[in-house]
Amino acid sequence: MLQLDDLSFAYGSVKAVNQVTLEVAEGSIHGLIGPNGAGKSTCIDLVSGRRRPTSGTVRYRGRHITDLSASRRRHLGIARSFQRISVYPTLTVADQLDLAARLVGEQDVDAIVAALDLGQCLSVTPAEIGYGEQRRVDIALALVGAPDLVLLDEPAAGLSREESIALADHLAALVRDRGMTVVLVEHHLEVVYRVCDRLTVLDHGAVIADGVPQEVRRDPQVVAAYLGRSAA
Amino acid sequence: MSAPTVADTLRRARRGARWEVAGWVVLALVGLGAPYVLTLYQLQLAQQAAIMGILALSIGWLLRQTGQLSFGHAAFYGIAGYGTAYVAEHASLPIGLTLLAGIGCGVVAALVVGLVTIRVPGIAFAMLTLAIGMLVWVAGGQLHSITRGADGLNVSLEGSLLGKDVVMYGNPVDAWPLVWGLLMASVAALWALSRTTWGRRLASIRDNEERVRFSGYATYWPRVVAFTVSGLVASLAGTVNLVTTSFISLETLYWSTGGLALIVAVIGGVRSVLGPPVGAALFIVLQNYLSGSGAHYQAVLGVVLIIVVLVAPGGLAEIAARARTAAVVRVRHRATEPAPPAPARDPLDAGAAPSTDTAGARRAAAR
Repeated sequence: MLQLDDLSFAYGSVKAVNQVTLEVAEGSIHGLIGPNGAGKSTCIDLVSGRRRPTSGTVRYRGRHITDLSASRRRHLGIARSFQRISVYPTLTVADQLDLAARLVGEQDVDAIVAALDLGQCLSVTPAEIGYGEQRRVDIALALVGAPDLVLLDEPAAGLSREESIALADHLAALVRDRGMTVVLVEHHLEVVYRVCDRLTVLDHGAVIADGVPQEVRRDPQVVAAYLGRSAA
Repeated sequence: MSAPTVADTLRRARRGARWEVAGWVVLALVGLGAPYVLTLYQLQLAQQAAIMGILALSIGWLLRQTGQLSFGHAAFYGIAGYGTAYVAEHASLPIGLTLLAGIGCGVVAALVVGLVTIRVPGIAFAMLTLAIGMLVWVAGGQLHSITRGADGLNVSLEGSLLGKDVVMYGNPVDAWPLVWGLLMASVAALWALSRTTWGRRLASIRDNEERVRFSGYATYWPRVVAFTVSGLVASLAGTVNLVTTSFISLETLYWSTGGLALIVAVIGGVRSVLGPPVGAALFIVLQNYLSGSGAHYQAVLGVVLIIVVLVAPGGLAEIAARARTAAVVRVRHRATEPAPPAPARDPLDAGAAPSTDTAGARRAAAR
């Protein structure tokens, strides 16, 4: 469904993403993990159209989308959430979801509200709800319209272990129910191992491992990247 | 109980606006009676306030809905006025079409400026609109044959407008229903526009443009259209000003015309569509009462602006909203206060009616 071919991006002289090649299968939850600064969020930015790669291509359902705008990619079915919560501060949650639903012709936005347990927040603005709820509003905005491919950038950031696992379970159920494909960037490895079908591990912008979670977690390069060379 | 849905929540919010609409209808009707209670001079001041209120409304609405600060709206105000004057002088059109042509000139100018400037973010946008406004002012001075430069231009409009000879609108008593009606119509139109899906989308672009783009919505054209709508309202003010004064000068194009309207919009509060007209009314009142003391009204206006920005950034509208919220809370608190305990029935006074006053209850309880 999604192919990245030799994708690179540099912030000045620093290569944030270095010739990344990976493939995301339709209907899967594909984890993108790695230590801080590995280039995970930059990869998501390149796929969603927030940044343009310095070289390489992004293909979605066989079509080159490398130069398309973010709004065009959304209409093709690619949606995303953000590492830093990105909602509309002065609009009520109901307004935010309604506007998003109208843009993409979502008929059953209340299913997302129920799945993410946002029913009690609908009439208030983000300033009046907690961090975890704001995070769920951000995710809900990405899920509205049942996009084919959802890019979730650290959806559990700032949440406790229990909240993260609960959110991950909710998300996994929702995306599988709606037939979505997910690329998940996440630091909570427990969450990643719990819901992902496949993992790609990045370090210093390059792919160091790719496979099913059981294999990847035993990979010496991955262990070294996370715990240091001596651990491997 | 079923879980709240998005549609229900929005419906409930819309229901709450009905009272707002009812309040405005009453205000509009009451305002029409101004000629019966105000002196001619006061009515003239009210008319100035209403016209300035329309201009301030245009700038305030743009700021509220898109977050963009324009210092160039005097250009649309002035271009509409000069456009009307030019068409009246050079084309034999019915007065209605003449006025529409003048407004059209302002709208086209706003569209062009919007197309060029709207991508520029933040303070750079404000500076760009200021620069364009000053260019228009300079150009107005150069086009002496059209504008008569600093001397100004006396305009003789002819024809019948809304059943009256257009010359009659030079009299505030005759002009008031038109000016007040246009102010209230502008307020109502912009309020209604803000509540449409398009208006809410503009607010979402103001809040988080990047998120809107990632939701699949291009943000350029909605903001261009919003800028043009705002320019339309400023043009309306410019044309009405010409109709009521039959005179226009380069001063209308100068940036301070729009700058002053922006200041009164901030004092009145841009978060409410009624705020800018209220700010304009306050300005005209201050100017009138302090005009005998030279430029002191400007100092007072400055002090008012400072106080408003520090105490209530949302302006007079925010102060009014806070007062209303406090009153509602007080009323609800009173309504939900537990009722005083029922007086204990005195066994020696079995036939007496129970006392309902608090003192009686206290006495009965003490017994």
